[in-house]
Amino acid sequence: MADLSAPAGAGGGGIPTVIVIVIVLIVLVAGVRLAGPRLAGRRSRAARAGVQWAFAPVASTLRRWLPAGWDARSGKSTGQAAKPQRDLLVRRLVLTPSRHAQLEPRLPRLAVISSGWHNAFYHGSAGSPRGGHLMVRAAAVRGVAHAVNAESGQDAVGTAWNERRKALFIVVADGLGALPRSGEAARRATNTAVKLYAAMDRSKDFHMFGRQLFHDVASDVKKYISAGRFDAATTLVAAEMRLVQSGAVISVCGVGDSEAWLLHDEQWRVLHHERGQGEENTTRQLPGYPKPLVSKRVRAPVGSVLLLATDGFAAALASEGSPLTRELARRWRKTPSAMEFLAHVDFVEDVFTDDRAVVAVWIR
Amino acid sequence: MDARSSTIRCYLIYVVLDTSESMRRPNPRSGSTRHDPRNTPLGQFVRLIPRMLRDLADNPIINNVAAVSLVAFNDAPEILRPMSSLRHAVNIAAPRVGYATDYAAVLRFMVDQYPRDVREVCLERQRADYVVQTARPWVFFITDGRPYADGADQPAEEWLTHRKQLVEGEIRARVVAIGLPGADEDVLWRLATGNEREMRNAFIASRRTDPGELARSVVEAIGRSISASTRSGTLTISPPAGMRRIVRSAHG
Repeated sequence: MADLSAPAGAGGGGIPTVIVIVIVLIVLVAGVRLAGPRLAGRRSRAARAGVQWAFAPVASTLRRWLPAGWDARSGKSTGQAAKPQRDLLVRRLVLTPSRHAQLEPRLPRLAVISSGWHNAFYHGSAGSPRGGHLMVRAAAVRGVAHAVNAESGQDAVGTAWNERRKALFIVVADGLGALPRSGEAARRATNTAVKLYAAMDRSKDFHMFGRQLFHDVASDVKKYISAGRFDAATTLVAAEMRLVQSGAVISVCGVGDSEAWLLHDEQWRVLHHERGQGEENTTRQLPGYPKPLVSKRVRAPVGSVLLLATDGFAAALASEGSPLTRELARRWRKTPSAMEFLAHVDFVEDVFTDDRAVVAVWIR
Repeated sequence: MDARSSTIRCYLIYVVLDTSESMRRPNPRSGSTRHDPRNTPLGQFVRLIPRMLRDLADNPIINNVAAVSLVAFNDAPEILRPMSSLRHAVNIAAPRVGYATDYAAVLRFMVDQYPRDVREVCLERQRADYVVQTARPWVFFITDGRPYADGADQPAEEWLTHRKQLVEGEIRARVVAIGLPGADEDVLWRLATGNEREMRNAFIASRRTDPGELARSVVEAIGRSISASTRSGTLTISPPAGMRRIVRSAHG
């Protein structure tokens, strides 16, 4: 046994005092860590917190000395370098660890959100959990360009589940920035579109119905802005996803520069776009162009992600690769939480400052 | 353009200022007998335009997407501020003294200068993973006279040839013509571009407006237009206070 009262370095071949102190501290800290849960079970939380508080500076110092990848609790190397913590802003505040899996609510029959003066998001699942099902994430973000000018956002996003067709309808709309009240047109168009789809018969073909839907939405928006005596216009892109064995059949139609993309096996493929068809920043819009561009039907396998987005988000996507496509391909292998999704939609890139409305559906 | 690449769009904006002899005449309403260069239309613009650019540069969205050049012309054109992003502080030169109002020379100069400016802006903004695309350039043309060079009125066909090259073909510039007292309505209307409904961006000042107020309202209108247009991507401008839009038919 070393003489703890002896000065450091004294005692000839004895163990130096500093090493002895360190060993004692390690034993104490390890003991408290191991006893922690039992303390919590037997004593009050305040008592446990008090013990942990008392040893916190010591443990903190020791952690700094331990090599990266060393698990202080098990006393073993994890074999991995310490990873920087990511996405701290979107982690839930856990007061007591839950024993239940995270609940994914059923998607409401109709849902519409818009960017307006705030950011908004929702999530849910559709279809049968026993058969194929769809995990939906939707977000509307007010663009920095609108925020710094104290203007409201002008994008909207909506979904509708049609039980008769066993199909999901998703839609995004982007109010034209040149007309200040276009946000109202975007919300109106999205609302009308989801209501019309929810009432659609089982037997109708979506491509045929889509043409009629766009015509009806355009008429409704025209009446709405005429009644309000203001000028406004919006893009509108919509898709139907019908669950089939081992995936979904996707039909897309749209007017304007909002886009539809499919992510599968970390590869992005554009399903619908109108890039380069307008001069300057002009785009086709409702109610001016009620005839939609109808894209080919696509069968998407389980594991794919269908994305509809307004140009504030979609302009950063590229089939040959862009920072956003690469990052999302990696992050969206698994369905992100709703808050993570909102953070992804709200990505930071100085050159993309417009409003963003995005809906993404994971086929499970 | 297709979906293979992601595109960054930027806007090239020209403010073109007539610096002919008439722009250096003092404001008769000032009451001062001493000649003060600051008390002339040119003096007002030379003072107000840099302020406007500084204000626009404070906006993080505009300074990200807009590049601005200030061009002056009288007997010959000259660049007062080279085409560059508003993020960069750039020296603005004082205009040379001259007498004529040579529209043909300045329009030809801009046609020649534009490809160089595009190269410069694309190079300045070049980034891995993105394609830089320039939108149609916007030209704010401020003048108080009629085309005049070599001691005589300049024939319309002489400058309209260069105007055509600027607003058609490869460049397809959008031109806002702003006429101070003394400007010719017909010239302004022919210089400006407009929409398919033949509403052109040509404005003429009322003679009753105070020249100092007018310069301020013109610069404010240009600043508002740049701010709104870079957000929407389409050139839009409201008539500056003390001015009215020139209206006539395309064939009139």
